[in-house]
Amino acid sequence: MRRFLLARGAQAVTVIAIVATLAFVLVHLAPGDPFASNLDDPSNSAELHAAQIHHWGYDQPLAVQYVKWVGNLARLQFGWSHSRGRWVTDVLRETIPRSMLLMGTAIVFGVFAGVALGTWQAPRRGSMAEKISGSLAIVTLSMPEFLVAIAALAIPAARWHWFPVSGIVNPAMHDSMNAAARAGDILLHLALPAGTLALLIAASVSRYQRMAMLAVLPDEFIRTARAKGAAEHDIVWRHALRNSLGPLTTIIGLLLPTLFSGAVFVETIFSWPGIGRMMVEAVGTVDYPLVLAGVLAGSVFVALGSALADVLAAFADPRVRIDA
Amino acid sequence: MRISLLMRGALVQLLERLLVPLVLLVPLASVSFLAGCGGNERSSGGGTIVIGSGQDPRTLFPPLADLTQAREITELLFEKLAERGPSLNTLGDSGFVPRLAQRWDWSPDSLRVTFHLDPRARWQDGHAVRASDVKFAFSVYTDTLTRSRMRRDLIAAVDSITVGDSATCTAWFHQRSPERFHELVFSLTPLPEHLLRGILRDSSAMLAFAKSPAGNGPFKIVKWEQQVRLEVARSETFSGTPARFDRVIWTFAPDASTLFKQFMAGESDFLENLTVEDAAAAARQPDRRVIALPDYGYNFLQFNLRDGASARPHALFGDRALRRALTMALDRQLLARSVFDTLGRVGLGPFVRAQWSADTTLRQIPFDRAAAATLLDSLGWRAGKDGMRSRNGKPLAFSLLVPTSSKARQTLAVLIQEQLRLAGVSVAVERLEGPAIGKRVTTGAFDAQMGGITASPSPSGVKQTWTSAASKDGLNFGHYENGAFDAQVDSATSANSKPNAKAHYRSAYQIIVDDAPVIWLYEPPTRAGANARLQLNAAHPDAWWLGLREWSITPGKRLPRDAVPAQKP
Repeated sequence: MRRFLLARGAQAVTVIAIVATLAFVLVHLAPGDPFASNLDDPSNSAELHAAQIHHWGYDQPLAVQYVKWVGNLARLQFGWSHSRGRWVTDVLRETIPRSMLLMGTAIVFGVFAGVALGTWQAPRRGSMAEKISGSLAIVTLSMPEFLVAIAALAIPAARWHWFPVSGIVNPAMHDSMNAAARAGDILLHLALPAGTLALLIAASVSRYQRMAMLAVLPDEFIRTARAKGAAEHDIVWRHALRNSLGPLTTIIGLLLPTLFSGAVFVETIFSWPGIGRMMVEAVGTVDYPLVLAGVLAGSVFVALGSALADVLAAFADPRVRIDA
Repeated sequence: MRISLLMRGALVQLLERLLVPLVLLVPLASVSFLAGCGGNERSSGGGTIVIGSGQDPRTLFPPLADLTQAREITELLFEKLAERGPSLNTLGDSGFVPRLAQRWDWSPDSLRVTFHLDPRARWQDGHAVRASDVKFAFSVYTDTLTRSRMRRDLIAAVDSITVGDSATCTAWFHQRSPERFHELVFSLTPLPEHLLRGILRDSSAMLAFAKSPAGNGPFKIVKWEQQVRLEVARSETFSGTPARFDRVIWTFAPDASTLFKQFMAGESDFLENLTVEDAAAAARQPDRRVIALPDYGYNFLQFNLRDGASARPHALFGDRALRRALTMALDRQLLARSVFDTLGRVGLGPFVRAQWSADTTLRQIPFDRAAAATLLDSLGWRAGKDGMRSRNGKPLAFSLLVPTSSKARQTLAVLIQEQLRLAGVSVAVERLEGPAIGKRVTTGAFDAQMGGITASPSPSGVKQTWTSAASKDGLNFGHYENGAFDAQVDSATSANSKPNAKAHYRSAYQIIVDDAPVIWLYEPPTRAGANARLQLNAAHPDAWWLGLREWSITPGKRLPRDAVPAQKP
């Protein structure tokens, strides 16, 4: 097992290093720089622009910049964010927990709803209810994240006023609330963005879960349970469900990259101040250090998440370890 | 196998155990939220205004606060020596309103001005504002290490600042340039020397100051969570008329449609930069108002007069007559109306109508497709069977760069493409992100671009945008160079009287309009949305936020957030 863990860890580190290097090269080769974004402002002189470029070392050869960047990374220094006027570490310290809250909530609710839906669908295979719910799941899966987000924003928030339109807290009231009300305020703001992501996860998980249940339901132990007179509800929700959950950890691991890219759209549309929105703004302002830190954080999240899913799967099924 | 079963069991138990708390959490939290709203203290009755904004200010350190978002907050935290008055005059000191300086005296030779500071003025930590703070600020702004964008204008106008006594300082000018007073008071914000002197080279301490500065204005900073909100509260140490609001809160969202939904849902009270469609939607609501703000931007189709980065003339646009023919082929009135409906106003030249130098009587190149065709024929650009023109086998075609960030410019580019096609000119529209356009434009790798300029009340900004000097270090990316134009601009910016300056500006504008280095397209209409509960008692003509200290909430239209008192910083 230790060998497996080491191998999986080394694989994750290699993936992160390759992604980071590619991102560094691509970001610096892309047109523009952090100080040339505003062509409409007469006070933006070429002299000042050149002084900024020189001060931050962007006029040095790319290889020199790369070596410096890697050296700083080794000391966990991500550099200075030009678009935000602060250290990137401080920006990450604020944005990562917010994204974790959003994605964590979405995973919990999405997986739970997806498992429940898939489990409910399987014994009803071929029925009208199963066909309709299955079609709805496929329609949801086919829709881009931003479309789901815009629909969620337009109807429950903007039209019905059930939820706040955007943001993470009520900007005018939050500080005057007691602790419980503050938590409620955050949950209220979390509902739509997390709900949007959860919906997409649920649609995906339900398809996997339905297949897993269909594979388990014909098994002999289910027939034995029926022969012993167990209620159909217990057979499905206790016996079959428990035995169908094995691949779930792997599925969650596979969902992480999709979840991360979905968070970029959802955070932007709902103004959720997490790492996804940070990335969009950093790319728009060609903020090299912030873009690279975001890419790095994303690749670490996805690589570690996938590795963790593999490890959990290996715990659950020793054949995975042997294959690895 | 045993581990596998245990894992499965554990997962099921986890799901079962999470279900009940998660399902109960949302309603429970909502109940506690409703029960827990409302502060323990009472506000002083001024209320709270929430402003929707698309961007964080990045810094609140005045020398670096060059973006509009930063200016609108720092100018509430820090007072300048004087402000431009409602006339927006920038010549001499006529119409300027005293702020930190109660009054000022000119020397007989007009080469120095002495400011008498308000002796009651205090920084928010209680220290008196002293004349040495003005001198210190000048040294910070002009220090190359500060990298302030205001440095260039400031050092061009002001030689030095000296201190008379604690409440008197004198600015010494290089020469009697007509806008020297404006350049000084507009560019320079006094800074607290006692707080900054020892930390200027300490990046951590400066960062802390830039995030939460102690100013001397009508508001003080309370809290700034980047990407989320920024809150300021009425300052008790402010020596002028106190602001009416208890709190002003900016809430940040990058997406314009989200900001508008926030505004329409009542989550924000004020929203800048409404689109034409959003302005129309807001105007239909009885409890929303649409306010016209002065338009300080002008947009254009800019030709590159050089062949790439070389000094050679561009194969097409080096020809003045061809540029004039292309201008004639465009119905600019129709273009502006197509995008901005009745709010669309055609650009007239390198100025905006809100500037005092504006001249709406300039002789424009008229829309005349037949005359354009005749002129193109005379230049040898003949129409083929397909109606498209060519000369010596070379088609009359060029590419047009358009930023994806501007919906208006993208729409216009397509309309221009169609109108020029009718004249036999082929235009390939290239849509690019802002940084990519920046790279292409600054390196000369373009034929034409849809550009824009954000002007200031001072017309002298034309020096940095259209003169030959701006071709080397400025925004004259099309490399338009005309000595006669430069001479008129020089005369205008050094003229001592307004009529004289205006006459030179008019001559300069006429020269550049006749030369057609760009096609002046439109002045984008600037509209803001305000909740009807706001009483907008004062509207500053060029910076709405300067009137904010006099705005208030209509009695009887207060919301729960108006009862929340300001928190301690």
